[in-house]
Amino acid sequence: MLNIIKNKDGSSLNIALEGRLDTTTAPELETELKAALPETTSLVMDFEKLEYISSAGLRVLLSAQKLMNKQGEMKLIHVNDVINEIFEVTGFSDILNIE
Amino acid sequence: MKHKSRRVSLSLRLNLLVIAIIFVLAGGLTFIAYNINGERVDRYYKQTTSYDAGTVAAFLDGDWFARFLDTIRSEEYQALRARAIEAQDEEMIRDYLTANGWYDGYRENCRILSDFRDRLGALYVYTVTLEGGDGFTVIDPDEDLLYIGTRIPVPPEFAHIKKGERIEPTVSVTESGWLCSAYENVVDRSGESVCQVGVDIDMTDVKAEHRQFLYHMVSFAAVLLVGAVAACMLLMHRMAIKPLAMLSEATVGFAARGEGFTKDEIIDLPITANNEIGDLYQVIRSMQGRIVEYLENLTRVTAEKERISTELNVATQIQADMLPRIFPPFPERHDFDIYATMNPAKEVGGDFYDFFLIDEDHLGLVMADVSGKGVPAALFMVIAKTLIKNRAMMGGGPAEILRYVNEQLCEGNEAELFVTVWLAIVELSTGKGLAANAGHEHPAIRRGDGQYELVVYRHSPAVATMEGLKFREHSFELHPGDSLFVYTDGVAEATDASNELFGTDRMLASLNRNSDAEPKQLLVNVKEDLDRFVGSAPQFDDITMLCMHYNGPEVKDP
Repeated sequence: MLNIIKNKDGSSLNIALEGRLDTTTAPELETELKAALPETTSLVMDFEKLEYISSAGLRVLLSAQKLMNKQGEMKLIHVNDVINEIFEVTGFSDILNIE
Repeated sequence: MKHKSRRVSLSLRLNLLVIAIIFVLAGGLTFIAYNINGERVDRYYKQTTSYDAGTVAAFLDGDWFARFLDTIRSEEYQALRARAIEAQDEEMIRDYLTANGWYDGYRENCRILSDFRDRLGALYVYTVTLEGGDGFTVIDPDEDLLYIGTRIPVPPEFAHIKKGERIEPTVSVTESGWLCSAYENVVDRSGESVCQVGVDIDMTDVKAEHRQFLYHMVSFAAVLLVGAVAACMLLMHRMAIKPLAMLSEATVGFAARGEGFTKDEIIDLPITANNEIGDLYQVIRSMQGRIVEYLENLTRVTAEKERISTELNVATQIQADMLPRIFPPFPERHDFDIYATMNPAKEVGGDFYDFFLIDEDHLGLVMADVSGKGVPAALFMVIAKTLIKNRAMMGGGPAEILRYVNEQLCEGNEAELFVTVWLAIVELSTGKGLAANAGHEHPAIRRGDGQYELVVYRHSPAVATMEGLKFREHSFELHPGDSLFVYTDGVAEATDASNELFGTDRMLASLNRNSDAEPKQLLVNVKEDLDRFVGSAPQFDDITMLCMHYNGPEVKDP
């Protein structure tokens, strides 16, 4: 149950996620990113409506972050409290660029 | 109850149809043939009779008849005739005709008419006048003399006929049977019509014959019907019903077999017809061929799956064997109790726990969770577990150990897996400890007789996320009677059928249900509550727990 809303403008990509990013849905996001990231230099992910993120979801974010570190920048916006707590606890807030 | 349409066999339907068609066809043909034949016979008879009447008329002397008619129409003759009929005396007429010179002519014409009657095989040959609505009999060889000059009513069908006009021959039923009647005008020298000669030919026999023809036709049609139906049934049976029944039986046999098909199982019937049934047979054959092929393939794939499954079971066993599973692990030590469990979600899991004595005074505790599941996670787990323990045995603090492990795991980590690790080293003689939390769950701690509570602090990123990471480290202190409980997200994030999380609150409640319990019983309590909460929902993640109870330094006996 994950809605991936993509908005592409040249080399910048805006992705809004709605629902749960878990073991079942993480592969969907991974497929989308794999297809879009090679020609992206600016990736913005909107987590306003993301309800949950599991370790599988974190792994996808980590891959994206690593790739974007090489070819541009990636940032997360509108990260809600639930997700932010997960980032804090897992130490991902040290790695990810959260605004 | 649902109404099921009645089963009517195909052959019965087809046969009924054939019977109906042949019945209508034969009936129609018989009717047409009967009518055509009847008309043809009638026409032939009318023509012949008409021709005969013409022949007779040509032999008669029209002038004589003209004069004779004048005489018998006269009042004098009619009066005599009335008297003769009253007296029933034929002689009176003969005397009159003889006296007036008509008798010889009368005799002569009688002879001509009867002659023709006999030669033509006619029933009657006679002369009358019909035209103008004023009919008289003239000469009829089959009647006596009293008949001459009888006024006769003209039949309505002749009433409109004018003098000299041709009268169409007719076929009709009279009291003497079927008759074909034709008239021909007898003409005088100037060509004027004087009277008509009538010829009646008996058609009773012909009509009987015609009816006989009908009977023949009907019986022939009946024989034809029976023969055709029999032939049709036979042909239908041989060409359609039998092959279809054979096909049906063979395919039912094939369909009834659930499994274990081989190529020999494919139907092989003596159907060679190059028609729709032949096509159907070929299609069924090729379909069955494909089913057999598919099933063979399926069997192969299933066998392969079973093999993999067996290997996975072995892998699960190996993985389980890697975790310390013998409790109590250090039976000679009484300064701490420890218990841990791991329930993988799939055959092999990515969770692991570990505990080991680095030296006589230092206990290493590990709780970790590899991102992802299945074989890749399990392989990664093996490397991570080995690296952590080996590095820890070499000495150094948790941060230093994790930094080393992180560098090692980041090398060639193409699958981009990472592992959250809680690593603690406790000095058993003092209860002082150092811990590092690389993205792992908050541990729970119970101080003395208190309740289990989460220890919340900021964590470091997970191990193997990125090269060059530095890990935070913090110190803590355990007092005799304190307990530590660590777990993976499989506990806190277990979900029930309505997708609700078990959560750390429920977990703490579970721990505090009987907070005095031994580590082993404590884990059993949590697992029980967890199972009750999840119900029938499938287990998504590995469930791993570890509990350590600190008793304080051993009091050495003097």
